[in-house]
Amino acid sequence: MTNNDLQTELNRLLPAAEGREEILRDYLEEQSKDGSAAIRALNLAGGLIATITLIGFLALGGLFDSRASVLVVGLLLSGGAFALNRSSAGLLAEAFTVALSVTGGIMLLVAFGYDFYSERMTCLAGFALSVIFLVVIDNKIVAFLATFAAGISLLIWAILADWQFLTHLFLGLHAVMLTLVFLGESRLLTLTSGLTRRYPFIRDGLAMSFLMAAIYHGRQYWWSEEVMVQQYVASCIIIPLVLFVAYRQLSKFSIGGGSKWAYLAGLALLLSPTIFAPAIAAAMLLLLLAFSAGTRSLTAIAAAAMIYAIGQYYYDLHLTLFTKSVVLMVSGALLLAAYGFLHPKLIHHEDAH
Amino acid sequence: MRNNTKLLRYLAEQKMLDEPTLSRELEANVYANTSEWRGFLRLLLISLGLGFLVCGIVFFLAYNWADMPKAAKITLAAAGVILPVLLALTPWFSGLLRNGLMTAGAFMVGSLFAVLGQIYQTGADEYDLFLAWWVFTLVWVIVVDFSWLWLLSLVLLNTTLVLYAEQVAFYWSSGTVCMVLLLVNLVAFIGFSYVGERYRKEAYPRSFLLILALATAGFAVIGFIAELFDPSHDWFAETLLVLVPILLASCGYLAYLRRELAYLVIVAISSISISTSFVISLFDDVGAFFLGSIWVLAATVFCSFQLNKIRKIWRHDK
Repeated sequence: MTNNDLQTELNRLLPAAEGREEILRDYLEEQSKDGSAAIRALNLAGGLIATITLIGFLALGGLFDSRASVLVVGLLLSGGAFALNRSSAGLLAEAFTVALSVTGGIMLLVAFGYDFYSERMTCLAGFALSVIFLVVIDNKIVAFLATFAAGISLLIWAILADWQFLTHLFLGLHAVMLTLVFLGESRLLTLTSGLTRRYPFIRDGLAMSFLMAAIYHGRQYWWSEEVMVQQYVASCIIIPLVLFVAYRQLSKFSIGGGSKWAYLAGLALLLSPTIFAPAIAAAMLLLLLAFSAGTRSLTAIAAAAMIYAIGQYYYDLHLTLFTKSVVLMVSGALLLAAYGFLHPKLIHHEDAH
Repeated sequence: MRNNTKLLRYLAEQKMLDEPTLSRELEANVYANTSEWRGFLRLLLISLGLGFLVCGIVFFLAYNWADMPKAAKITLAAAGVILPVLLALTPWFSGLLRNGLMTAGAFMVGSLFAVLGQIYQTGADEYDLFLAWWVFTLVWVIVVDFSWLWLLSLVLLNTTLVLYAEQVAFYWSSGTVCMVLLLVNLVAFIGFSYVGERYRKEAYPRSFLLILALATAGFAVIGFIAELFDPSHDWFAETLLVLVPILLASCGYLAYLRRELAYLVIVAISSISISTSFVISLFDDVGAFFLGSIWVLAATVFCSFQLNKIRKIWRHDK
């Protein structure tokens, strides 16, 4: 967008506001502070190499021999990240905030789980630490990493419980939360300015930890070698969510009564064989949410995850290669038929607008 | 007007937009509209449908493979090559799709060689297969001149060289392998940049050239570090220790002259990596890591400030 375009857009969005030139200047100033992607990559690579060599130095210096020293260094590094985050050193502060937060957070977690806490307690501590970092440090990459780490901590906590129901419940609730975060974008963006700044990164972090949880569940089919009991729990939450998101989209484009229900019934039919393989519906949920929100990279990641989940599903099927090939050919032909069926309808609806 | 997400978020952060307005704007300008959904569904259904169908056919062939006569196997593998090429020659498809079909055909040449190797038990090494694949697709890579087909060809060439080093020239040190790969990719990068600018209607896509630059820089850095910590006592590989710094300096200078920030950043990251490994190699254990981390901090701070300054000047000049 050129500056003239931005000015026109501002005039349209804020017709009554005064000092629109000033707003535009502040906005451009903020954008130029943001730096280019290439320089951000340099800073992150530099921050990462520095962190690795620093950990190497600390490990060789015998730091990991004592709990107290790990704790002190963890606190120092986290404090450094916090101070740097509050400073106005710009792009560079960002890179080192990330490096220091990651090392500081890991050190604190190591200090916590040093001798006498159980693995599951350490997972909960990891979750709590991630949430604290997310709230305290105002940085895009830290927001992404902290959200992701919080999700993964809870996932590992659920896995370590050795109770399938819990991991399924976790995946289902994670799906609900992800859907709320995507669909409630405008509400979340207008809550607090801190949340507005972090929103896209929290959303991406949630999406990635959701995908990880989904891929973990990708291998737990009743027909695979590991026989599990409550494999349908997550699907009972995720499939209705997919239908709900599709329903909202169809209503938005005012696709009328009969055909709306026909589309939904088709989608439900398509997803019904995946009830014991929640990864496919989970990836599809993310695909729908990400595409409708206009986030391209997440859409691509979700599409790749869906292809992986489908591949895993067919790989795990206890059927002969011959049956698998027939199932695949038939489903391919059905999807192509759906393409042929949907194609004129979609054009028709477009024309109706 | 689409793609004004950043502006909307900024205004929301400054509390200049209320929730209903923001929601309306997001729906109208950011979220996918009917025509985008239409394109998305078309792409999703056709790619999944075709993908499933092709996988089903491949599984079906694999199931019957042992019972199939030799002639049928070879015919099938040859059809896999010829069919996409013939389709690409018809006028039904767009330019991009035709190039994609040609690339698919080039991929299938590999399976044709694999089938021939399996049937006649030629006793060839894996590298022979990749070499044949590379050589026999080269002509149509040159004729089609499509950047992603070139990339496939370069991946084949790199794989052939790595397999050759593993299976035939196993006395090559890792430094020597990196040196060979560095030279191959460097020549490719310079060649494509030069030919693209001088002799083609339009230059090769930037992403393609960036991948080549990253591969070249990667082999340079890995080769330098390998030679530094595990010297091979072979003059060809040892040249890396001199060549890589000179190469980085000249590339940095060229990138500066041509105002290419992305290449400058690649040069900066590579320089930081090799200088850090040099600092670490000078000292023992603890001191090495301490000095190494200080050095990385200092170098990153310096490069970041300088590049940001350069970026601002270039942007101002535009």
